[in-house]
Amino acid sequence: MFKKLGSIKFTIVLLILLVASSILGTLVPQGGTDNQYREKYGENLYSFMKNIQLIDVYHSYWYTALLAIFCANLIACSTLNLKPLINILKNKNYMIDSIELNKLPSYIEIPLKSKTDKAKLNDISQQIKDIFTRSFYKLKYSDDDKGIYYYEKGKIGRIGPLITHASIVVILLGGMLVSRLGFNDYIDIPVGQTVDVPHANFQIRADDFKAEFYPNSQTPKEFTSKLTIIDNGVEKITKSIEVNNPLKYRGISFYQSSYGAVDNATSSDSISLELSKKSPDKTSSEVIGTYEISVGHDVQVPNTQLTLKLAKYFPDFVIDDSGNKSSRSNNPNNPAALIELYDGKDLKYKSWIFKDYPDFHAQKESEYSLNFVSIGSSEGTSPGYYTDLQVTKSPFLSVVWIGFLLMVTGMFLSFYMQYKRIWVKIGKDKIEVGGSSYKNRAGFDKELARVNALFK
Amino acid sequence: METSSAGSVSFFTISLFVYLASTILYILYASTKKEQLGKIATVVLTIGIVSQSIALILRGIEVKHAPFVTIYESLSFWAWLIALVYLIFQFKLRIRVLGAFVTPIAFFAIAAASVLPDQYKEASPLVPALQSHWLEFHIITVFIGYACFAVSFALSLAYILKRKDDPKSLMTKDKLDSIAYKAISIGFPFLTIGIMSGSIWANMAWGRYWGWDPKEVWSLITWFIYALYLHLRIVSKWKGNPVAYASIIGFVAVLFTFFGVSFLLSGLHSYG
Repeated sequence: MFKKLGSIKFTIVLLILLVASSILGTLVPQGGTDNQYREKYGENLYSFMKNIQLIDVYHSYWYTALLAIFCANLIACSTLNLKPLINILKNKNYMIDSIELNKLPSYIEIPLKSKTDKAKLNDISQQIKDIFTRSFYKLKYSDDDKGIYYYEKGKIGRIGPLITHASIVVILLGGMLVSRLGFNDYIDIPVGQTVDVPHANFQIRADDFKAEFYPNSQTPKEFTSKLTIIDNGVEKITKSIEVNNPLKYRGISFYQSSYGAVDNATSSDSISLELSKKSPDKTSSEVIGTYEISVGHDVQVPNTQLTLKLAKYFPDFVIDDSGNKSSRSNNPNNPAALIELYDGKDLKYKSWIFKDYPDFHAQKESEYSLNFVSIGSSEGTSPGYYTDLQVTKSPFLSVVWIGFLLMVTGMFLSFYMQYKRIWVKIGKDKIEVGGSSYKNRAGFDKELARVNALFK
Repeated sequence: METSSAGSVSFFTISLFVYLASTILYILYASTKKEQLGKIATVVLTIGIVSQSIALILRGIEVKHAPFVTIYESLSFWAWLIALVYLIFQFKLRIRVLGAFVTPIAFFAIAAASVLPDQYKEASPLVPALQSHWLEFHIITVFIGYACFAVSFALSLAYILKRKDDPKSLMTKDKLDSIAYKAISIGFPFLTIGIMSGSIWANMAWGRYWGWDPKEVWSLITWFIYALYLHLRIVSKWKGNPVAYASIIGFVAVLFTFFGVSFLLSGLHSYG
């Protein structure tokens, strides 16, 4: 029974079943909501699918069982082959007396001139030895009197399959540990706010968020969040993360996923400005006040003749090659406002001002300066974004990585380390060289060609 | 944007026709057995590879990232790798007639890339998730695997289609089988490393090393099928046709993993 469990025919059956089951899971959308399935398949079919867990195939009881049986097959097969493998590795029977070289799959025969003396024969055997040792063969048996020599290499390659099979078990074990003991969640943090970290007892605060786009394009270039971990009231780490560059703290990792605009910012069509008057020598300025203005409206500055007008507001300002200005989206990625300042009826100041680039405005010579403070009212807290992070904990993930390493090692040994054996017979009238490899996978062309070359 | 791509497009078009020429020459060589034709075919193929190398470099400069990210780029890259992997095989095994089986696939790949609608050929900058050097490592290793599987597919197909087995012919069934095996014994480890690097990268970008999304599952299916191929060979009664069919089905899985997933299913992986 155990032999059947560990048999290669059973492995073949299991692989076919794994292929079929895995394909099944890609034909039916996985992990959707009840309603989505009901709509697509109808109540009856959906109930049936839910019962056999067709909507979550890869975590279903039958797929998991299949993987478990696959593990059992691997372990059984490895156990059954362990003793024979050890015997092969320990084997010192080089078949010196029994081997018939001319029956080997790779064989050459080189006739010698009659009366080749002993010294010359020793010389030849040394040259042959040099050829093979240069190709990493080891001389395992030599008898100068009988003129028989045996070389081998790559024996270690025979443990390749064992390591590869063991690695699959290790990977599956690691996978099970990670999925049982770890978690994978999403959190949204509006900029400036602190939230509790799921499955943990500390908090995280989003200090800032920035989305960069490629010039003149809707394609995102980078998402950066500045995050601070707060543990027991103490700020522990602050780090700016990007996609592909997470933050890790106490086994939990935070990955930049995406972002969004907080509601009041997108629907906001008012901004807050700070108006200042510069000193005559333009070296300093004095703040007059902060004012909230709606688009298209104006605001009277109290106790003055000054009127501020918000002519235009673009949340995502972009200017093309011809100088046309527009808003690329409704997200406050680059808030810009066109402000007009009148003193009575005189236009004293007309310029675009940018929330993210306070130093960039056209009218440096004006006696007034304007600062874009915020979207919405100046008392409003959120500058408009929330950052969307993936929060995960993957304990024992290193087991999976070890499994990967083992698999690569196992495959290298299986495919590239060929167990090759060479017998050499130096007789009075001829030299014979014969090679054999496991399942005739490797050839001996190079080695035999080099021996031939000695006699040209 | 349009003018700067002229360089890569012209070299790409040259490669397309040169691959076609080498395919025809290899097939002529296989049927006439004239050594000269075979040599010319090899030279022509090499010219095609050089030309496409230039196309790839120009494309890389133009799009400012590795030239194998979009579906158009990756399909051309695959064609180039098939031709290159084949050439290496030909050098090491010294069997020129293999070209008649493999070069048609390289040609089909580059032809398929050329008939994609223009919108697929546009340069597209890397979104944040793709900005990592794992991108190059993962794609290159997977594609070397895919290229080797294209070689084994061609040989296994020839194996199935070959009725008469003449031991004196340039390619006996035995040779077709053993070279297909050799191709898979190189492709399979590369596919494995490719899947692993994808997993390591996914963990760095999204915090999960395996999400069972359609692309990941199909790459696993492909892996299972080639593992199946290797084990079928061990059972002697399944050594001939069953093994060749496994190699062919494996390649179908490769094609589905490459294209089918992006066009027919949806998920995180739909960049192309």
